Amino acid sequence: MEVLSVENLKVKLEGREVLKGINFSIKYGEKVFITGPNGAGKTTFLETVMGFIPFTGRISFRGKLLKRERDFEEVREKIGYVFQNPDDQLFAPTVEEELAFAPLVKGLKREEVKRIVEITLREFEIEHLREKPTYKLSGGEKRIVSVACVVTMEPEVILLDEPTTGLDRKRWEKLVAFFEKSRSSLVVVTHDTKLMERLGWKRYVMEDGKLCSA
Amino acid sequence: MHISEGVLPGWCLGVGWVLTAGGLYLGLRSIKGEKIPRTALLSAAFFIASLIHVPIGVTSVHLLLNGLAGALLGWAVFPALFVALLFQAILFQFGGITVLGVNTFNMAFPGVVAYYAVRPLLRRGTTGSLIAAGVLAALIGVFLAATFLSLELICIGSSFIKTAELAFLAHIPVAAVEAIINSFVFLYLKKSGIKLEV
Amino acid sequence: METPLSGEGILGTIDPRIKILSFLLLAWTVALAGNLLQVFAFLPLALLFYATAYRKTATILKILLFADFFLLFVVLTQLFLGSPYQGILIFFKSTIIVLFSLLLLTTSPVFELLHALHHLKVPNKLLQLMFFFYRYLFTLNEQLNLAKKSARSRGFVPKTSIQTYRTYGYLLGNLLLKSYFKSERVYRALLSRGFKGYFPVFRHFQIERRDIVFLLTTLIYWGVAVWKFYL
Repeated sequence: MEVLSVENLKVKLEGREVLKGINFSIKYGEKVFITGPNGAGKTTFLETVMGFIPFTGRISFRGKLLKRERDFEEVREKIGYVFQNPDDQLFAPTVEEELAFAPLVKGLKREEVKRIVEITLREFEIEHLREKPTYKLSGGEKRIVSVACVVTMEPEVILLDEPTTGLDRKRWEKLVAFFEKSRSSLVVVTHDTKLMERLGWKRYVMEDGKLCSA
Repeated sequence: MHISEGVLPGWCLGVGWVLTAGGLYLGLRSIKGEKIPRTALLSAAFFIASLIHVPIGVTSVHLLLNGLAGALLGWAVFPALFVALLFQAILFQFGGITVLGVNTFNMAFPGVVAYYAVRPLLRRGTTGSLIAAGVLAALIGVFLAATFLSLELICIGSSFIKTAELAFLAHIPVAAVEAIINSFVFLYLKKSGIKLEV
Repeated sequence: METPLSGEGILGTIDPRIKILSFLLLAWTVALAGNLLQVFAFLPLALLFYATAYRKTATILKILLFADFFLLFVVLTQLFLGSPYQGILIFFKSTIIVLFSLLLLTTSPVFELLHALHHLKVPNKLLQLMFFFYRYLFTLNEQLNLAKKSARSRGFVPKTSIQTYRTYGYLLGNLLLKSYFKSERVYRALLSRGFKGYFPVFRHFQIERRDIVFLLTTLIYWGVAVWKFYL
């Protein structure tokens, strides 16, 4: 069963056709890579699926067609998005609050939020960073926190934009372990060949606004 | 709310410019070296933030943020808001040049009052005192600005009493929303462990 | 975010120093007008200026009609609850001053206006504030938009709730934090390039014949209007 599917997706930005008719779909629990040169449209693709960029074509989530902003608002808490640059993504005062943001927005009870935050802090081994302001984190720590704060949302699909950039060996392994264990569908945009070889998921290549399976 | 061009009588515009010139003198004297880019960028941040629509009930409001700006900037709030209002006039034609003196004073002077009122609370730094500081900064900033605005409107003539009344009332929802948001901003700054004093 | 009529028409080519001075003279004169006749004395000049930018009619009308919520509020309350004459007087005063502002100030790009203010002896510190303000306005706006996007991507939808206000508080706190750090980097970058508080200017203004013609026309018009209707 497909959780997310995209048909003939086209995007024009400042008069230039950035996405030229993309077809893509992913099943529940399926995990894939998207690779390709810089400027090919990978980030634009993820942002369009999130409903941040006007498009033509069809995007559907769990079989429901998403057209207007309202439709996207309803499904965003089920589609996680990890930004390419964690500095753009993290805005809460501390790591703990960053992780608590999504479940609080969902309207979960305090105790429930606390439970989810604790589990996630432990899962990514960042309990010691709990009260640290996010701007004081190191590059690798920011990267991990930016993944963790999406995980607490418990999304069915997670889109990740170059999540392994700048990670040290230990955190890289941590992230790989999370990828293997996760029950969400994952779309990972990456240049990290080691990561792709290690996990061996299906690979797509984005080139000049077109997506094809490798 | 910023007063538009052509609304106030000449003497009122003149008094506004004199008061603002005094505030600018004191404010500019207090900023040197690295405080110049800092004041400018905070001013730009307040400019951008005041363009956000914040929902309240069936409608939405723009924030004034002059109390918050005052609490962080002290007397430098005069040049900071002067520059922000000048750019609003040039880029969007909100407010205007002849009323720039009055509008700056209306916003910045309550900011300075908020600065002196809120400082001790911020220094104490407990959660309760930060929330109190947020509420106080909003109430002083918004209501004092609304009071000045209404008094100036009444200065035009007796036919403006109703206009002034309504203008004042329109600020109540802004003050309420801003009180909550300010408190969260102070808590945020405290948790991030940064002293934003200029 | 650039001035709405930047470089438009013949007025876009006039020296901004002259335009700023002309604007101040005209705007203050209209602002001090006490009756409709005095206001209407400047309508032909405002329309003449407008004619030079007729291609931007849609932009100008949009600004005149919708930019000013406060004016609308004052005019409506005066028409229905106060003195209708005052309402009409204020409407025309405001509209004519805004027309002058649009056609004399906003026909120059922001950096040229700042440069002109420097020649007009605005204090250097204030100019530095304006320069840094405008230079980083876009960067900070982009920062806020990204943070908003981050909140939205995690399911945030603005509504009337404490959760929403908390989010705005965080977005604002975050924006202030980023402004603060950005300003530190800006200052270090300036120092490392030998900044001493003055921005060197590459392009200098040169008064040309059309600037003189413009200035004389404006002054003569102003003189006649004041003589006939104000004195």
